[in-house]
Amino acid sequence: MHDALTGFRDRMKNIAGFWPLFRLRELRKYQEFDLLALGLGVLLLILEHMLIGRVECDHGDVARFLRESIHEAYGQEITEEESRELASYLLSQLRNDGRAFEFPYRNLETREDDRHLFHLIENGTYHVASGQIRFKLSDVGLDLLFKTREMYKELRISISQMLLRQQIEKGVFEDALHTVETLGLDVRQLREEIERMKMGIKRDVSQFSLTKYEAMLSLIREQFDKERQMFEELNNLIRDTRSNYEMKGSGEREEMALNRLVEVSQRLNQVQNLHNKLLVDKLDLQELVLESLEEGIVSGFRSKVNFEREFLDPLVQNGVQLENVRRLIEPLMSLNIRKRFNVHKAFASQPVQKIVEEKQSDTPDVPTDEWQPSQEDPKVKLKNIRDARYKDYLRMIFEPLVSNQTFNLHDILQALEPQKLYDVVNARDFYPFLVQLHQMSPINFRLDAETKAKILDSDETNLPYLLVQLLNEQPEFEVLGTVLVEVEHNGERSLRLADEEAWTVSNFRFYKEGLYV
Amino acid sequence: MYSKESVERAIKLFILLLEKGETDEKDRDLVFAYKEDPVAQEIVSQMIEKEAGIKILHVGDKLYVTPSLDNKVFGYSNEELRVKMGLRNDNVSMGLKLYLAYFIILATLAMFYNSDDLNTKVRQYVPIEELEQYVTEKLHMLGTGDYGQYLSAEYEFNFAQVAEYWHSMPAYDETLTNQRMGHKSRVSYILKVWSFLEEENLAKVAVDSEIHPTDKLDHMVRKYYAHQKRKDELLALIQQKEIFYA
Repeated sequence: MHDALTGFRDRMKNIAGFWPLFRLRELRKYQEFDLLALGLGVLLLILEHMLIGRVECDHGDVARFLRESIHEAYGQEITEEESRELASYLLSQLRNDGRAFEFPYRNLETREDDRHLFHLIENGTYHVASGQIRFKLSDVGLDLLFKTREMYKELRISISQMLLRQQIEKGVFEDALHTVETLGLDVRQLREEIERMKMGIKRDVSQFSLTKYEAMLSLIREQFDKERQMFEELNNLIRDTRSNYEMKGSGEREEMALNRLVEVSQRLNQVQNLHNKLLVDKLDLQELVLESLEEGIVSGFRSKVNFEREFLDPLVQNGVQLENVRRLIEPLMSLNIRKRFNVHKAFASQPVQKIVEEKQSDTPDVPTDEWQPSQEDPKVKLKNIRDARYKDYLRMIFEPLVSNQTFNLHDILQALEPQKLYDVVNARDFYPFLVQLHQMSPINFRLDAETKAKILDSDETNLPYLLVQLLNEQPEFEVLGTVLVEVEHNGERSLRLADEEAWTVSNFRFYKEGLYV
Repeated sequence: MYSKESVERAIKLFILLLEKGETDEKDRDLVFAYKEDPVAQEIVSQMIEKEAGIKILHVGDKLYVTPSLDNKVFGYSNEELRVKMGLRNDNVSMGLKLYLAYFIILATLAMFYNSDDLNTKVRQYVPIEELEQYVTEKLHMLGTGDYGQYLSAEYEFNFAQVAEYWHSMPAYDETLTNQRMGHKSRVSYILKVWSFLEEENLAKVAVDSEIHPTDKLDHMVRKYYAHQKRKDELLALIQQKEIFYA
């Protein structure tokens, strides 16, 4: 009897993850929709965004997704406002208003009451300009989705690698690309687990278990050795396959397959880089453990704190005076640095004001909003010409990126028609444009209205403003998310463009931001 | 006798923390050197912390600075906090408004740190409606005891009035699309206080309806408030009863 119940706790834990989804069915609101299905859909959407090359998803993405899904699955139109409400409702249910889900059960093996605490969704990055929190799946959330595809956690990376290998051998590169993305997710998963362990140690070193730590270290070591070998093999396989295709000749199909393969190998390189970072993580973890243990011994007298019971409730009962209430929150405040007049400033260099002749005019000199610089002004004309050219350059660089992950300057220029290429490389303003663009990296293409309104036009360096204008004209650029501009590391680092003047320029690489690579 | 390097290191760190309040990635080298230098640590804890009335908290590879209680040089006065929080100076007693703001901060902390068995936040975020209800409930108790009608001499309000003022406001101002801009509803009031926490990098406010604590808040609570001696000092403040004015 007892044998049958071995590992009961783990099994219950696996079941617990599904429970919040089934709870969605019991809700009173939105009974016209299958909330379980929509909830699972939302989790899948978050997963989709977590795969390499996407920005993590936020409230707005979820709302859009729900609106489309309902339109497609139910043939029903809901308004934007309604979709936002539904998204907030579903997200707050799936996040249990920020609390961990608590799954109580009777542990038949130990004959005691037991419970599992878990989150399905965690906070990702925070977008300052829009005040939006982005989401990612917790470990439990990810596991849940993987379980629905019958994959086991310990084997996840290796299964993906085997899958990838088969796909490359069969020449199914579309699928291979997807597998590489999943592979990247798995590696990130392990890194996040390490991160969580670090957080746990920082939080309370006394709760930290040495066996768990040692297990983690050996897990990292094993995974690392096994996978590094596997990655190398895969890289070789890709190289061989690639030269095979190159030998075969230049049919359109071969060329397309070759392009996909190059993409697969680039992605795999990124994932592999990420994988190598595991080594650094391991060293960090070891250092942190030592430090925290030392510190833990010193501060053995630390206690726990319960703000509600120890501070707030006594405060309302006792009638604490204002000064003392301020003192209670004082430790949280930053230091108040008061600025004082510095007498030496008197000797510092001063801006000298120009004396402007007073204008003799009948009308009072009130600034109005309608004031516009004259179109006749040569400066304005020049600026308009330059702005138009800059916008043209922006289109030239970012249009190819809409359908591709990465491009370098060399690729972009090669794709131009000869006449256009000549114009571009011989235009003196192209070079300052590139420098400005590089300085703007990372370039965000998803700006909310408020941020857009804050970016103003100016005489010089008005590239951000032009970008906003371009986004208004062609909102499809928003799909780019965030684009990074860096000097190419592999291959040619600089380009010679205009022949007669021997100008050289860095070979910049433009790529869409992945999450960690 | 302290070496010149150690004194320099300690002062550099002090100035850096004065400037930024906390260390970041860029200060890695200095933090590392400081951690390896027991003499510099001694200078900081025995002299700088004591004389400047501050406390430097270590968490992992980060350092934070916080003013000690009643720090005249680096602490904020009530009036300075009023300005920082953007509370309007109208005909409602300023002491009352500040009391409410501090109360909301403590209530926000209480929603995150109210577990006896874990020394950590119990949830990821708190929805604004939930905090509004929580504050409303808790304030029902304020001002009902022996001290309820006691008049705070300096600011001229009593505890019962704090609760009254809160209850007199509607939960929402339905005429506003942006609740942050308002000042006549409970939600707008909470958002004002939350913006202050955001400014202090203690929390993030998402879509004007959820508050998420930052690592900084988490570290401060664990390092400062959970320290037995410091906690006792703070708890003693709560026990100090007001003197009755006959």
